[in-house]
Parts: sequence; structure tokens; C-alpha cells
Amino acid sequence: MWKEGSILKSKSAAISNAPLPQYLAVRRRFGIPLFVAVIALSLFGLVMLYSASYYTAEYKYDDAFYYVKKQAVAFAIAVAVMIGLSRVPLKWVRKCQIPLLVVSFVLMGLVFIPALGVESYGARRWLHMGFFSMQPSEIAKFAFVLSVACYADRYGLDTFRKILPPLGIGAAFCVLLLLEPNMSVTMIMLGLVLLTLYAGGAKGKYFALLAVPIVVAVPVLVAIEPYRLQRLLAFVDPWASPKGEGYQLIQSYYALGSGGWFGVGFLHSRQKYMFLPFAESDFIFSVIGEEWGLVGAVAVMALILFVVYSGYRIASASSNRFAALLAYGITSVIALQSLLNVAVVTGCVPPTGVPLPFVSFGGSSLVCFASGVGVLLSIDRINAAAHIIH
Amino acid sequence: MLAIAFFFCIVAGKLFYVQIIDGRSLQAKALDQWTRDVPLVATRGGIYDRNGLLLAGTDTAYTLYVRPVEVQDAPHLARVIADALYLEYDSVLSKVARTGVSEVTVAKKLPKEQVLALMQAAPKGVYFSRDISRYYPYGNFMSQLLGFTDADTKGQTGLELYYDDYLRGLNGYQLTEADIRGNSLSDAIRYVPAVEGMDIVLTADKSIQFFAESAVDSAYRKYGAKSASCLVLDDTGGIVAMAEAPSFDLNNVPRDDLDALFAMCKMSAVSNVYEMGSTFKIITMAAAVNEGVADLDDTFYCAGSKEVDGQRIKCWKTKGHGSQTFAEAVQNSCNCAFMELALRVGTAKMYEYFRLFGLTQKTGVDLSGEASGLLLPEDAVKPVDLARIGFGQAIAVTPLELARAVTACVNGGLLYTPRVLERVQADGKLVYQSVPQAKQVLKPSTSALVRQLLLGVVNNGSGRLAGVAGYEIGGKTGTAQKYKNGAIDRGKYLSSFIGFLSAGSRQYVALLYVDEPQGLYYGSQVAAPYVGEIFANVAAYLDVPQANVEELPTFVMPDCLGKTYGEVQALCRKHGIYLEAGGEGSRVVYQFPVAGSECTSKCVLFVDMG
Repeated sequence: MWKEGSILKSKSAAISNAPLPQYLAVRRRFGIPLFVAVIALSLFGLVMLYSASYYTAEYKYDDAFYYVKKQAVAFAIAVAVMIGLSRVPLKWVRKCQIPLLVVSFVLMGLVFIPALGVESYGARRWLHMGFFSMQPSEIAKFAFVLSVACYADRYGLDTFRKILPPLGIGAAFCVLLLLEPNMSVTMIMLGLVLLTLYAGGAKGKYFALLAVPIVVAVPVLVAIEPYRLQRLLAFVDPWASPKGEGYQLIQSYYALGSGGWFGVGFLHSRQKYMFLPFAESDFIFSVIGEEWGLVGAVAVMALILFVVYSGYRIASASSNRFAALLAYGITSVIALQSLLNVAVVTGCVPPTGVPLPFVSFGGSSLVCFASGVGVLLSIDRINAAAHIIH
Repeated sequence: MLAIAFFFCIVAGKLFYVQIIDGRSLQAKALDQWTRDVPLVATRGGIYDRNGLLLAGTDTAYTLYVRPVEVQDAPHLARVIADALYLEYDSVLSKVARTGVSEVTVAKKLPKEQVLALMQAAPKGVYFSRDISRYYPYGNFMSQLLGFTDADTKGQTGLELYYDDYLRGLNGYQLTEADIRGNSLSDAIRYVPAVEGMDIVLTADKSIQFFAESAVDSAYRKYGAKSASCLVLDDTGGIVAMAEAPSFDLNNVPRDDLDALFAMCKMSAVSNVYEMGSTFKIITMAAAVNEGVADLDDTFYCAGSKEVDGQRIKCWKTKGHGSQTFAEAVQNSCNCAFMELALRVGTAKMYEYFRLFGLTQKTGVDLSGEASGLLLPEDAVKPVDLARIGFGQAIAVTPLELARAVTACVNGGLLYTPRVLERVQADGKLVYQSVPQAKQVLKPSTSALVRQLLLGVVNNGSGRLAGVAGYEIGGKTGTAQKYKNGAIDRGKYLSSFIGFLSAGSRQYVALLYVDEPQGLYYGSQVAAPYVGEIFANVAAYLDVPQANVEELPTFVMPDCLGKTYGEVQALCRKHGIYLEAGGEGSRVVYQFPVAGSECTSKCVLFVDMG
């Protein structure tokens, strides 16, 4: 089943196939630290959510805890799902591949049905499900990495023809995302396509061919939605339109700039008094930077990086190709989305709306990411068991 | 993993840049949006007359308005407002319950107490704003001198403009932290109180201004003049009154016609130059006396004209004044005599006096828009020009320059810098006291003699109508023909009188001039009586002791029409009245006072020969 050219293979193979001295072969388990880090990140997010949202919540809903309550419920569900999934055999997860893909496509299609899809800020990204709302794209990201892992494990990705099916799934998702439109998740999806196909053994030259449609797509996308160009320009010089396109970024800068080294102190953010848009979700990292300073912001980034590191270590420790690719894909979702969020907040890339995993407000997002981590924990458990068998 | 870590490091680097390097300037910008500053408007200082009477004040009133969308119980709120402000319930309700508007003004110009009482009940949706307005207790009064402000009570003209920096004060502010909608998050974090404007006290006297106002107003109306103006100075150069007609109400500035308003705002005494005519003779007189080229023993002969450098210059009385003493020549306002005086002094000396008297430059008065005298260049002055200058032609000065110089002629020879500001006070405490600045320009003996000559003009000469029985009043009349494009503008005159009143140790100099009077135009008739009226009022107002007045015998004015000049002259000599005649004919065609009027020896008879 192992194919040449896989980076995962060479690492895992080196570890699992070579007879190593017992003391060197002892694999550290990353499950526990990962679990602790994710819980810590989520709890810190819950606390920061309160600080960032109580004023707006009080104003909009007459309840300072409006967002916190919802997020706390989601957190409880997320922890339960995470622990539950960590106990589920990986083959069950594998069986979810087709249903998850179908559900993703259906839900993403439903977004376009006026009665169910919610249009906000000019885009249809949300689905109303009676008592709660969700973004189907949250599920789609994980559905995609799962399907790639299954496919690569079964058929390999060593020829160009073989990479076409997963590429088609990714392209289909991207088209649906662009129709919403949702540029940020499209970017993440593109990143996932690249990372997972490469990890799955696809050759570098194939990606050169993939670059062609992307290069063509950029001007076309800008032509379809001129606001994208404005956003690009606003990112270069936000001060040119402080009340318009540059507003979000400037407000984020104000928050971060006020934070300095050590921040203005917990609960003391001034930008959350409705100056900073989406302070509870997409821009919660700005509030963290404002209240905890550079030190706090970098600490949060370090914690996220540790989660990513643990995820990749679990992936490389796995002797099972499917498990390794799945762990790699899930971790990449976390890594790419975290990176995109902090890059937007700090003005490294043009503004686009994407929540910070585990920290931002958003129940469906939290539960989905926790599910991913639950699968990672399950893989870690398998790795440990495999080691004992060895 | 390495790639991800690498990108995280880039983000961390950007974070460092934004948070640490750019932090301070970003925070400064952010501070601006986090706070809302409410201006605390400084109250504009008052303008007071020399006795502390308010001439311009600041009124604070409140406007109450309602935001109907925020009102929960309109009938109840209407009842509360109507009761608190003594308004009609129905009209308040119609405003409070109005829909489709964001704000409705309920009542304006409310006193503070009423608003405070209402706001104590803190009804929702009710707001008030503080309005500051300038008001002038006397309305159409001293309008040019005081000036007015714009809607933001910033000085636009007159003293309001000139002393705006003192009067305005410094606005303070109250800094409050606010959310994006401007809602306060806390009590004021910074409170910078306003520095109230300072009060200015003028040298002007409200009562004397009032006398001057009524004088120019009646002169303006009676003679259908283009304008009538009056300037009163005290003997140290303080402006006591400055009145102009036509004028306007400072409380209701007519801003519709800005050109007309601009013209009415002008202080002609400061901004305009006039060929004053005979009133200017005082300067010639003073120069001649001070130079010792004329004294009371001199006699002058007037044949009706004088030949200078081969050019014949007429006296105003073409028949001539004959032989006259210096005093008589002054009383007669004889042009020939003053040509002679000017020629005796000479161009160089005359110009030295003009400079000494400050006619060649601005006086330095604390008012804006000041002009300075227009004189021929000294080296271009020929004897013909000097002769004309001697009786007030070919030289134009501002009324203020003339009045200031004449003050020096009668106060012992001290030339003061005119001023209108007496002192500045803040909160009742003295901040600035103006000190009269003077220099000696004439010998005291010269001043005494000029005084005596001017007293003679009022007692026995053309200035009789300015006289008030029992008071020491001197002066000089002036009737100047106006010129247009270098030629006489027929029928257009500037009639003036400048006089002084002794009030104990103090003296007041009044210059009243009527621009383009219709009908009568002699200064002795058009201007002098009004100065007399002003001085009579001033003397009574200042309680100047009145000398014993003998009852003057009266007589009935006979009909002079058709009589010859000699017959009329004989009549005047008989009754001891002063005769002023115009026209070139041999018979009287017009007389004033008319036949049958009851007259005293203080009367002046005007006749036109046709």
C-alpha cells in the first residue's frame, strides 16, 4: 500500500519498519498534551469571549452572557464529542467518508435555498437549522480531508490520473464556496487540496499544472465581485478609506496597538465597545492582543502551534497510511485556518472573515474542530497500541 | 510543520511591528475615537460704559427638544412638560407625539431653572441644548462702536471684533469615554473648564452717547442728510461718544443687504477723511499763535477775496468782512484772514504742525479700519495751496484726527492718543488699565488764547447756536463744499461744528458733522444747535455749575425779504444778533428765522441774497 514519494511514508517507515533499540523507539504520546492544549485554548477562548462580547451582548440582547452561554453549551458538546470520538475505532470513521461527503454537499447546496440559507453581509454561508445555525463549510473541510485520506490509502496518488478524483471533489467544494461567496474557506480548501495531495504522494510537477487555473481564476474572481479588489487595496493602505474598506483592519490595528507589550489588562479592552467589528468571532484575536499585549498574543499563537505540532507528530507517528493522512489533513485544517485568522487580524493578508479555531465564538465551528481533535486522539491511541504490539 | 511555524513567525513579526513599534501612534489615534469631547462654551465677556453700565452682554438660554421615537407615554410626557414650562397641553402633545421626525423643538429661550426642574424628572426622550446669544440692552445704540457678533458669538465688527480675544474667553471641554454610538461609558475622565471671557470697560459714557445719538438722529431726519455723525472726546483723548445716523439695531442686525449693513457699520469718524472746511481753521489759528505770527492786536482786512500768486481766492462772504480784529476774523470765520495766517506761518512750519498734531498718520486709536489724513506732498505745496489749506480746503483729515488736535488746542496743548478702552477686568479683578498717552504740542499760552478765541465764536460769532446760557462753551463752525472729481459738487456740503464744554476741571470736545444736508447747509445752523443741545444735556448730566444767566431781551424778527444787505446788517447790529449771508444778489430772497419769530440776541439770522 505504501507508495514512493510520500513524505509521511519515509518518516513513518523509518520509525515503524527499522528495528530500533527499545529506548529510542519509545514514542511519546501526544494525545494527553494535545487534549490539554485544546481544552486550555477553548476555555481561554470562552473567557475572552466574555470580555470581548459582554458589552455588545448587553446592548443587543440585554444579556451580557448571551454569547458566552451559547458557547459554553457548544463547549460541553464539543468535549463530549471529542472524548467520544477518541474511543471510536478508526474504521468507523473511515465508513463515514461517503455519508460525510454527501451531507457536506447537501448542506452546502441548501445554503442557496432562501428559506434555509441566511444571507448576511452579502454572502450565503449560514444555514438555519431550527434551534441553531451553522456553516456547512465547517463540515466540508473535514469531509474533504477524510475522503482524500481514504482515496490515497486505497488508490495512491502517484500518477496524474489518480489525483484527478480528489482534485474534482476539492474543486467542487471550491466552486460551491465561491458561489456563497466565501473566499476565506475557499483559500483554506485550496490549501488543503495542495497539502493533502502532496502528503499523499502526488508529484510536485502536478502542482505546477494546478497553478494554471488558479492564476486564471484570480482576475476572474475579482471581475465577478469587485469588492475583492477594494479589499485588496484596503489591505495595502487601510487609511485610504478609514470608514469604508479599511475600517476593520484599522480597528484591529487600534486594538493591537493599544495592547503594547503586556496589554491593557483583562476586561479593559476599549475596542470592544462596538468599534471593532466581530470582536467576538473573527477578530477576537485583536481583543486578546489588546488585553494581553504582544506577550499574550504570542502565547496564544504558541499554544495553537503546539496543537498543530502535536497533530503532525501524531500523523508522523502513525504506521497506518490512512490514519497518518487523516491526522495530517485534520491538523492542516487547524493550522491553515488559525494562520489565516491571525494573518487577517494582523494585516498580513487582505481582510476575510474566518474564525480562530477553538477561540472564536461559533458553536458549529467548535464542535467540528473538537471532532477533528477527537479523531486525532483516536489515532494517537492506535499509535500507542501499535507501539506496544511492536 | 516547519512551513506553518515559519508563517506563524511572520505573523508574530507583524504583531511585534503593530503592537510595539506602531503601538503608540495607533493608540493615540484610537484614543480619539474612544472619547467624545463635549465643548464647554466660555461665556463672552461684557462691554460696559465708563460707569459700569452694561452695553453688551451674553444671554444663556435653553432649548428643549424631544425625540418622539424614544417617548413611551406621550400624553403623560406632554402633561409633565406643559406643567413644568407653563405651556399649552395640546400643542405640547402634538409635538411630542409627532411621527416621522427625529427631533422636535418644544420650546426655546427657556431659563435654566425651568429646564433643571424638568430634567429632574428625567423623562425619557427629552433633551435640551444650551444656546448662547449676545444681547445689547439699548438695541440701536452705539452700534458702530460696539459692533456685533456672528451666530457663534464671535466678534465681527467694532469693539466686538477689536477686543474679541479678551471678550471671547477660552472654551473648555469635557472628555468622556464613549462607545461607537457616543454613549458615555463613565463619568467625565477629563474636565477642562472654560475660561470665561473678560469684561471690557470703555471710556464711553452711556448717557452722553445717548445725547449724541438723539442729536445725530434728529439732524439726520431734519435735514434729510446722507448721514449725520457725532464724536465726543474727553480732554485726555478718551472717546466718550460716537454716534452715527443712519444706524441699526444690534439685536436685530439687518443682514439681508450686506452692502448697506457694511456702510452702516462704518465708523465715519475713524474711517473717512473729509475736507472739513472752517472747523479746520482752529489748527491754522493754533499754529499761527504758537509761532507768534498772530495775536489779539492784529487786524485783518477782507475785501471778499485775496490774491495769492496772481490767483484770486474768494472769501465765503464775497462782499468782504472789511477790517476786523483777530478775534472778529475768527468769529466771522473769514477765509481771507486765515489765508493770511497760513501764509505767515509758511509751508514748512504748517506741515510741522500737521505732523505734530498727528494729522499725517493714524492716531493709533484702538479701533479697526482707521484712515489717516490726506495731505498734498509738502514739496508740491504752492502758496495758493497753502492759502486754501489755511481755511480747511485741500486737506482732508478724519474727524477723529481733527477732534483730537482740537482737544490739544483747548486743553493746554497736550495731544493725547485717542482710546476707547478704559480697562479690562476678569471676574471683577483689574487685568489691564489703559493710561492716557500725551505729548505737549502747543504752549499752554497758545491753548489759552485759542480757547478764548473759540469762546468768542460761540458768544458773539457764527457758533452762537451752540451756546448754552451759563456754561463755558467755545467752538467753530464749518461749511465745506464737497468736491467730486476735482470740481465743486454743487449743492453738496459737509456742515460741521466742533466745540468744547468746560465741566469743572474737565473738558469735552464734540464734533458733529452732517453729510449732504438738504435745504439749509451752514454749519452754524445745521450742526451748531445740536452740539449746543448735547452740551446742555452733558452739563446737566454732569451737574456742571451754571453761571448766573441774565434774562435776554426778546424781539420779534422783522420781515427782511427784499431788503438790501446793508439794511439787514443794520438790523442785526441793532438787536446784537449774528448775521450769516449767502448768495450773490443784492436783495434778500430767503431768511431764517422767518418774520414774526421771537428771537433773542443769541439768535443767528441767515439770509440768501438773490
